[in-house]
Amino acid sequence: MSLLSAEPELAGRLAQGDPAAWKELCETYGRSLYLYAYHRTGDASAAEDVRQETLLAAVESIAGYRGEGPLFAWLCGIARCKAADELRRRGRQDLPLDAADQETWQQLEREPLPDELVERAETRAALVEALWSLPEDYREALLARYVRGESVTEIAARLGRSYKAAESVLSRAREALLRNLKQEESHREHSSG
Amino acid sequence: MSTVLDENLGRILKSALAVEAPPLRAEQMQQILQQAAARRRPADPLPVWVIAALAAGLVAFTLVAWSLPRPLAALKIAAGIALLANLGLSPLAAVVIVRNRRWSYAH
Repeated sequence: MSLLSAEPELAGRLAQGDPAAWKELCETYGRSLYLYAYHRTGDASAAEDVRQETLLAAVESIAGYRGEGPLFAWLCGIARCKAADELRRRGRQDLPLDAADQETWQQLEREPLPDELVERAETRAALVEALWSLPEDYREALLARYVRGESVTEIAARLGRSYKAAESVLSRAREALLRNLKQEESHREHSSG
Repeated sequence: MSTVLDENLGRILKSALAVEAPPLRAEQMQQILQQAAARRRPADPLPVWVIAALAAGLVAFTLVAWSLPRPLAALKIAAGIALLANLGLSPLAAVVIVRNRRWSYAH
């Protein structure tokens, strides 16, 4: 069972206050939430605080999670507000919600991205959100291929599938990631008016 | 497979994951678990089937008591009192349960 298909069941247990479910959530998303918070704040100690405040706020408001999107995207929504609060407390400005991200995702398939765009905090934060909102097998396939540099043959062996099937998983994973990135962008545009 | 897309994905993924992400510390995890436990929804005081079985038992007791011969009139009176007391107290109990639930959801 992939992580996302197990989410409604996990969300139900979280809403009932099941400590085992909260432990599972912390173990599954603790590191990725830190990454997201780090990219939003640009500071390790702020990222730790934001992660903790996000998880505590999630405990308070889990009843409001309706399962309309991935659980991690919901957590990122909370983390975004907590990061803005944290930056304000530290006398710094929140990341701008400008149109550069739109540009990034449109350029992704067309031309090599400039370093400046790749290293933008908004790009990194959006990517973490989109990546951890994918089913686990998709995410693992993308990490194996693009971060660890494994060949399709190695990924096929890891997944216990044929070469063709592994290629198909990678292709669907790429499409799903791009879809998530574009969806996030349109959500942000709606929420920023 | 698009080479440009592959190259771009590799670069942005590596860039986003270049940071070392520490796991939650034990005390942070403890704080979250304690807060979750504090908000744990109380279990229903009695399952519905237990309430239904108790009500059926009460009705059965009343019917048996009222069908007994005259020398056991005291039992009839006891059954009548038990039935009336339950009918009177049930709405009150329902109001208390509903108010408690509303309070626990709101806080």
